[in-house]
Amino acid sequence: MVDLKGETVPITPKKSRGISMTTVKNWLMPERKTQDTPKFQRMPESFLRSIRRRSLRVKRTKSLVLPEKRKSDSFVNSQEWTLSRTVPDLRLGIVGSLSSGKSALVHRYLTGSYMQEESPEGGRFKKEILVDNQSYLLLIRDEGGPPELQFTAWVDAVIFVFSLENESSFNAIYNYYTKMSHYRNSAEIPLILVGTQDAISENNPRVIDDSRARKLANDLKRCSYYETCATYGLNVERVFQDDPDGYEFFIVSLDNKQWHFEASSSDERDDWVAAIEQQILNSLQLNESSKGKKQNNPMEAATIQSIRSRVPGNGFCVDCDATNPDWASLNLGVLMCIECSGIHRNLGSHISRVRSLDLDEWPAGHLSVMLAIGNTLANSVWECRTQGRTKPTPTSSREEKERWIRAKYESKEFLPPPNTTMPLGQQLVDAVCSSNMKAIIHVLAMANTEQVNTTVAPRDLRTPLHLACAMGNLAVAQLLIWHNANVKAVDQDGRTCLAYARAAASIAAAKSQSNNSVSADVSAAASRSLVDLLLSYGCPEVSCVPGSGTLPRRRGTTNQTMPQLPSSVI
Amino acid sequence: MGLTISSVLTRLFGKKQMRILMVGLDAAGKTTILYKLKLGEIVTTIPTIGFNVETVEYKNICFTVWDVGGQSKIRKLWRHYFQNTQGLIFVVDSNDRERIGEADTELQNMLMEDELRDAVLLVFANKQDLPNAMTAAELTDKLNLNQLHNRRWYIQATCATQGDGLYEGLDWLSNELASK
Repeated sequence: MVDLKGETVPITPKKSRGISMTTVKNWLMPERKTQDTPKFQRMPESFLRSIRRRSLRVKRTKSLVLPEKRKSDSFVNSQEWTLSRTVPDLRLGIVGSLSSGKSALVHRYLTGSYMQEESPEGGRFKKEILVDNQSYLLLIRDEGGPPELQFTAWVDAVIFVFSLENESSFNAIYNYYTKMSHYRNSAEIPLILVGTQDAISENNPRVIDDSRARKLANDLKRCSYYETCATYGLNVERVFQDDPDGYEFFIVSLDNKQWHFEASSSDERDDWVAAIEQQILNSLQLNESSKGKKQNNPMEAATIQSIRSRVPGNGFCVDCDATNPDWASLNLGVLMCIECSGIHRNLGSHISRVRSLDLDEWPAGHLSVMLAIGNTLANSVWECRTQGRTKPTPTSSREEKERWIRAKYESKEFLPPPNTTMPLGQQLVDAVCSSNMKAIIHVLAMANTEQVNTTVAPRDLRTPLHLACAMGNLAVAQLLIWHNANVKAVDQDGRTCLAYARAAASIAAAKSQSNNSVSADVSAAASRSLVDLLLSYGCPEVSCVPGSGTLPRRRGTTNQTMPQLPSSVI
Repeated sequence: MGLTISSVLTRLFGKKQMRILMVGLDAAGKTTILYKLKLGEIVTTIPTIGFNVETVEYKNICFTVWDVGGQSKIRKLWRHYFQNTQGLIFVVDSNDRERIGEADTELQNMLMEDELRDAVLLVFANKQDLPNAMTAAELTDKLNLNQLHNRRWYIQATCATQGDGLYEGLDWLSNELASK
C-alpha cells in the first residue's frame, strides 16, 4: 500500500474493506540518488490522504436520489436531498435497543441539546460535514428495530449503541451484530461501539464495567469503543467525527512482529504515523548509501536521462499527459505515468512490455528503441485518427484511461489509414531500408508474424531483420524481434542475421577508428550490442546449409513457398 | 489413538498460521492474486514499489501473504523476506515467453538460499487467458522444476482475473502444511 513516490497508491480496493486502522509498514527502498529526496518527502502526506480515502468510502456521487426508498424515507424528499449534487454521501447506521440511549446520542450530535425520549420508530437525519476539506452529506439512520437486510445493505458504517446502565441493551448488541453478519460480510462495514451513560446516579448505577465493554468491542472485530454522555455532550462529537476511523495504528516488521498503538486523537495518530515513516525512511536511506553498492553503468544513466528530457514528447505521459512520466513501454517506445502503466500491464506483454526507468535494468537494445521512438512519434501513429474522442487527462478516472488505452493499443482504433497499394511485408522492407521509424511503427502495428518475416524478393531471401542487422540498426532489430521476427532465418546464401550484424560491426569499428568522431563511436557500440542481442536470442553463428544458395535458386519456386524456406532449412 | 483424536481436534479448531512469500518478475500478477484471494475481487493495480501484505484465511489456515515488487533492481530485496517463510509462491506471466529464462534464473537463485531450504514451492502459471500462454507442462520444463532436489513443489495454471486455480494452489499449500 505504500508508494515511495508519493503519487499514487498501488492498489485501490473498490469497496471499503472495513479496515479502520492505519498500518505503517517497513517498506522497501529502491536505489535512489539524493536528487529524488523531495519526492520522498511528499510521501507520508499522500499516504495519509489515501488512508482517509479508504476509510471513508465515497461512491454514488452523481445523484443522491434513491428511488426505491423515496416513499419510506422522509428525508429524501427534501429539495436539498433530491437535487443532483456532487456532494458524496456517507451512510451511517445507528443500532441499539430501545433502552440504549442511541436517539439521545444522535439528537445531541445534531442539535447540541439533550432529549431524554427514545423514539421507538427511529429516525432519519442528514448533516453536511467537512472531512479533509471535502464536503460530505452524512446520512444518519437511527434504526428503530433490529438491523434488517435492507438496512444492512444500505449502510457504509455502523455505530452500535448500548447503555452502560442497562444489561439487556448490552446483550442486544451481540444479537444485532450476528444478525447483520447474516446479511453482509461484516468485515466490509466499519464499526464503532458506544456505551452511553445518560443519567448514572445512585438510583441508576453503572452495570456494564469497562472490561466487559472492551471485550464486546474486541468481539466485534476489534472495533473502536467510546463512552459518551449525551446529557452533557461528552465525547459525542468524537464518535461521529471519526466514525469509521479509530485512532489505532500498527507497525508490522519484516519478521512479522506487530506493535499496536493507540493515540488519543486522529491528528495525534497522523503525526505519529508521519514521524515513524520518516524515521524508517531515514534509516533505510542511510543503509543504502553506506553499503556503496555498485553504481549503474554511467552510459545507462546518461541515456535514461536523455530518454526523459531529449526525446520529443517524453515530458508527458503518452496516454494521459501527466507530467514527468517514469514508466516505459519498451516495445511501444513510450513513457507513461505509473497509473497508465498499471493499465498497460493488464493488456499483456504481447501488446505492451512495461518497465520502470528507475527500477529496472536497461540493456542497450531497450534503450535504443526508447531513444528512437518517444511519445510524439508514437502518438503520430497510435493517435493519428482519434475521430473526435477526447484524450484522458491526469485527473480522468481510471476507467476512462483504460477505455482510451484499450481502444488505442488493443483495438488499434486510431491508427492511420492503411496503405493498400503494397503488401505489408514489402512496406516493412521499404521502411526498414529507409530507416523510416514512423512507417515501421505503423506497419508493425498491423503486420502478422508471416509478414514480419517476409523476404525482400523471391531470389533475395533476406528478411527485414537481416536488413536491419546489415545496417547495424539496433533499435529496428530489437523491435522486429519483439514482433516475432525469426532470429534463425537465413538468406539465399545461408547467412544468418548474426553474419550481417558482425559485418556491420566490423565496418563501424573501422570507421570509428579512422574517423575518431563521437557518432562513429556510437554506431560502433550499437553494432556490437546488436551482435550481443542476436546471440542472446539464440541466433546461430553460421548457417549449416551446405552448398549455400542452391536450394533457394531452384527454378520454378513460387513466390508463396519462398518465405517459408528459410526456417524450414534450418 | 489419542494422538489421532488430538490431531483431528487441532485440524478442526486450531488455527494454523502459514507465512507465504509471493514473488516473481514484475507484471506477473502478484498483487492481483493477493487481492483476489483477500477480497474476492479484481482490484486495479499499479506496479508495486515495496510490498503488500495481507492475511488470507482458508480452510482454517491463516496465510500471511507477502507480495513483493518484482522490478529487476528491487529483486535483490526479496531476500529480506526469506526468514521464516514456509511457502514460496512464484508467479509467472505465462504469456511472456521472452522473459521465462529470466524468471528461471531468479527462481533458481532463490532456491539456493539457505533460509528457504524448508520452504515448499508453489508456482502459479498465471495469465492463462492470454493468447500465447505457455502451459503448466511447458513451464515445468522451462523452469527446470523436475530437476529440483529435496524440494516439495507444485505448479498450478491460474488466471487471477477469473480466480481460476488460486484456491487449488492454496489447497496444495494447506495439505503440505498439514503433512509437516
